[in-house]
Amino acid sequence: MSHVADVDIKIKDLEAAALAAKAVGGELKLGQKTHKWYGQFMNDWNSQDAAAQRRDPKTFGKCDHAITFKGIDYEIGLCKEADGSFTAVYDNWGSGKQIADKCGGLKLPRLKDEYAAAVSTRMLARRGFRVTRTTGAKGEIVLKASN
Amino acid sequence: MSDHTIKIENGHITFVYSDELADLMDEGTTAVCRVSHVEFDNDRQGWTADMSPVDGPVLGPFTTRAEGLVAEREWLTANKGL
Repeated sequence: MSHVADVDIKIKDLEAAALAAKAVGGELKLGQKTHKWYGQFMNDWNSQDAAAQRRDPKTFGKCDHAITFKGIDYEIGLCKEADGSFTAVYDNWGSGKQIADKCGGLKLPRLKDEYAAAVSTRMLARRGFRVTRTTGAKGEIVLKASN
Repeated sequence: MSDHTIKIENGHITFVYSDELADLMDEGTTAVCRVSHVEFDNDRQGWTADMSPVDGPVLGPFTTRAEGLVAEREWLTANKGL
């Protein structure tokens, strides 16, 4: 009679975000209010994945914090939402493709997974669990917690 | 003493619910679903664990309900990595 919980992660903890950024080869720059991108909205991409579907193009390049990568010109912006969480935004044109490569794909799954692992590990440690991390058969992160 | 497995994939944290892990549900938008129905089967005269909510088989029958619950967890571990 078990139940399974599935949590669609939201970035809220900046210390965990810093750990996640480091895990994918980047660095979180707290308080950096702009992130590098192409610099001009071309209105040339209208798929569901396009930032313009959810964000006002006038805000492109603005953020609350940023993730930078050595050797990559473009950066990820962390933009604060009304609920206090942060959305990761970046330009996947030009050097942005290298950001996607480092973070596991267009929607940055590796960055999100590293963030999820960091917040989960911190929570479990606070609760007195010993945590070990392994990688599953499909490449997923598996945390084993025991107390 | 308790053990838990937490799977992380594509920005999702998945685990068998336990009150000890409830804080994880605050880390995003959470959906919770039942994974089985552990019931006494009158026809088979034993306890069964119907895993159909997660596309699994009906396990059992078992002599006790506790055995059905153990079988459910073992099936989740073997087949869902949880």
